[in-house]
Amino acid sequence: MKVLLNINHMNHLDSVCKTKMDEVLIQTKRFSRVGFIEDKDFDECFLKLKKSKKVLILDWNTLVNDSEIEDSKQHLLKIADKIDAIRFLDPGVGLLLKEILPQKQLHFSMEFGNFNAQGIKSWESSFTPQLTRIILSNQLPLSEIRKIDINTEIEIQGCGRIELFYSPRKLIHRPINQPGGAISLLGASEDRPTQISPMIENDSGTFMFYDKDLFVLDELNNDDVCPDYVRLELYRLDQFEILAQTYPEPGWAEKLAKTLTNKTTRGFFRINKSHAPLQRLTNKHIKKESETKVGVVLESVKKQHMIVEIQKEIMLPAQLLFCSPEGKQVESSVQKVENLSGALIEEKIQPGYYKLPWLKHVVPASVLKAV
Amino acid sequence: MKIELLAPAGNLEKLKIAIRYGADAVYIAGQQFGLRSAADNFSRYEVEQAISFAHQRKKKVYLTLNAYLHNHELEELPEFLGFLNEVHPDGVICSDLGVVSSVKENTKIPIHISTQASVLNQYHAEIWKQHGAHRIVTGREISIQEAADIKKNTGLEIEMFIHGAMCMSYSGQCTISNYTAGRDSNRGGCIQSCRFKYKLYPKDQEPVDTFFMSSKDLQGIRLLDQFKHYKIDSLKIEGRMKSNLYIASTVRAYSQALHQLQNHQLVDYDYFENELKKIPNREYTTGSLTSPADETTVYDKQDELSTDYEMAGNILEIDHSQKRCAFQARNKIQIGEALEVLTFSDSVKTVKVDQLLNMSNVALTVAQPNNIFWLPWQEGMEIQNVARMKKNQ
Repeated sequence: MKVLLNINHMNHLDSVCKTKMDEVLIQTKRFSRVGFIEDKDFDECFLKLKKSKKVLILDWNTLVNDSEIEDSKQHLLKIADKIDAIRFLDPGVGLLLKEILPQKQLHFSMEFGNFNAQGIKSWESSFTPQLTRIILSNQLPLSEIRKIDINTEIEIQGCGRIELFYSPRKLIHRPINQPGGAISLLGASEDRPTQISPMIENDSGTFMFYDKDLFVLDELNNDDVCPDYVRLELYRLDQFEILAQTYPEPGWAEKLAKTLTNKTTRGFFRINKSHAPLQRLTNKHIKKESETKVGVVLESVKKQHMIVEIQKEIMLPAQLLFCSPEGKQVESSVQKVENLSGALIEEKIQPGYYKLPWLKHVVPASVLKAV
Repeated sequence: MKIELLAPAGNLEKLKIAIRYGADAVYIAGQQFGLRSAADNFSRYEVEQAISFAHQRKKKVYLTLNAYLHNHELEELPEFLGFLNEVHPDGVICSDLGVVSSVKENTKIPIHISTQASVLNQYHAEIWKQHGAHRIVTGREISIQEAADIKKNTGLEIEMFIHGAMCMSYSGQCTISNYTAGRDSNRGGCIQSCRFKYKLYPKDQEPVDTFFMSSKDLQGIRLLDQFKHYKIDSLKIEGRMKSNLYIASTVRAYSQALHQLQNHQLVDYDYFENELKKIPNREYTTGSLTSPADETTVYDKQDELSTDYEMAGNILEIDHSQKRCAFQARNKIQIGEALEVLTFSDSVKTVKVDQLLNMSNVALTVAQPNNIFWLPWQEGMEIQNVARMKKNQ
């Protein structure tokens, strides 16, 4: 397992050059969501990093429309010789890179979505043979990552900020009454006032990060074969300085952890159960997949009547089970029903609305099942 | 070229309403693999009923499979696809390439790429085409003209959102719910964090309270001629979890406007715009349909949908002999209330509630939600018509 780090600000350049990492991910203002390196500084950045014998990866992780692609393409062609690989988030950018830079190594960032091996393998096939690395989402547990059988190398985020929100709209400057440009601040929702998140507005849009930084380096070993790469996504000068002083000596990761937020998180690295709460959104008592469901109660008027919608044809007499949303069940033998105009129906009931005698405990939304 | 009007259907009742009010196609979800876990969603029997109902009327049904699936979930998909092979939906809406691959392997159902995939450029569309896509639902961040360019350069069908609530984030790129609430937004667990009030702490300033992440609702009725000019194939209304009134009002307005446009009639945009204002909304914006959405598209208010109207209920059955209809209340209705019944193809009918007799002919003083009572019938009123009423101030 190899370690790489990012650089998104010229202030961090000297410290990054001093680190003993082989690879650096360059995040520029033009190509990266939270990159602050201007076009005019790229050459200096490139020269210093190359002098430090770094492998340079350009991070093109914005989502772009066709006109933005065209603008960026021209600039990219000017700097392409200086970089060793290009990383993309938008698969369209990947296809463009395949066409215009057929010799360049490509990395595909699958930060959002793409959780299954079949999908990942299919994407891999789209960019072969240029694709040399896939960056997996930090929502994938290590156990799932290790089951992904692909020929391309795999990278994951090992520590740093977790991005939660990416909008192309510039949302922060107006409420705080400031002109545009790069704005960085903290914010929290009324719903979760103690989760105070870093937020950024810049030319690429608005971004919100989780209040806790990710830290899973203590879960990984240097001799692990999967993932192949682990990325340090850092954002403050002291973090790069610590790294320059300590990496790869024993204990470097622990020292780096102390520069992160007060509490860090492993995110979904051990297990992802974020689908579990969704099961509770379905009322199991009136779950509709039942083959025996024949209708639903629309109205229940105490000691008068119930109006039901029959959805499947039934024959009378019929034994029906009324299941309320609270889980109460009432069984009743139905001999005859009335339609809403008052006509009596005694044999076949077609789908439609009918009046039945009132039953205790049966409320609107109760499901009717044939017994 | 006829533009398709595509409406949401959270359940079978809404599907019938959408189709009867003029939708050319509807999109629905089964109990698994969609993005709206809290919606009613369709059982297999209901999927079958829905497709049968639509096909009998020469309308289309698209089924959403647009969640991003983990391995164990994807393993369950082929069995469901086997069921779809038997009932023949007109398309499936996907965003996960694993799902697309499985659909291709197991069916011949046309594949639509969901807006969750954030397709914003022709290269991205092209790559989905290579993977078997027939249609792209473009990201809501591009204009009609940009979408048309994608169509021109790829030959793919293009579907664009024309109405409804919008994510502030790029669709599919927001994981606030995942980390803050432990609910996967890309598998139906979105907690709508973007509608919350936030406190921002700018440097050297007092904290600011703001709903800065909440977007106004999309409404593109006045852009119909542009959609036509640029040959956009399908116009989509958002909202599988919205009310019957929302479905009826939006589908009615857009289908009637499209009908006028396609028959070279003068489109009464003022009327349709006014009709759409009567549905609960977060104020309207055209989003990025003509130019990139800016800060004026933020709905910087508590998330209470504004309108002077609310749903009254809908007609279940008509008793022609007595010139009355069985009407189910969805909100409290009092004697003297004037209900506005949205007919399928006629004008809006105003019906005054003079008395409230329930189905046992017992007089009510007030109809509570779910109560069913007899409402006078007027020519043009049909089963499944939806009615609205002015909110009691």
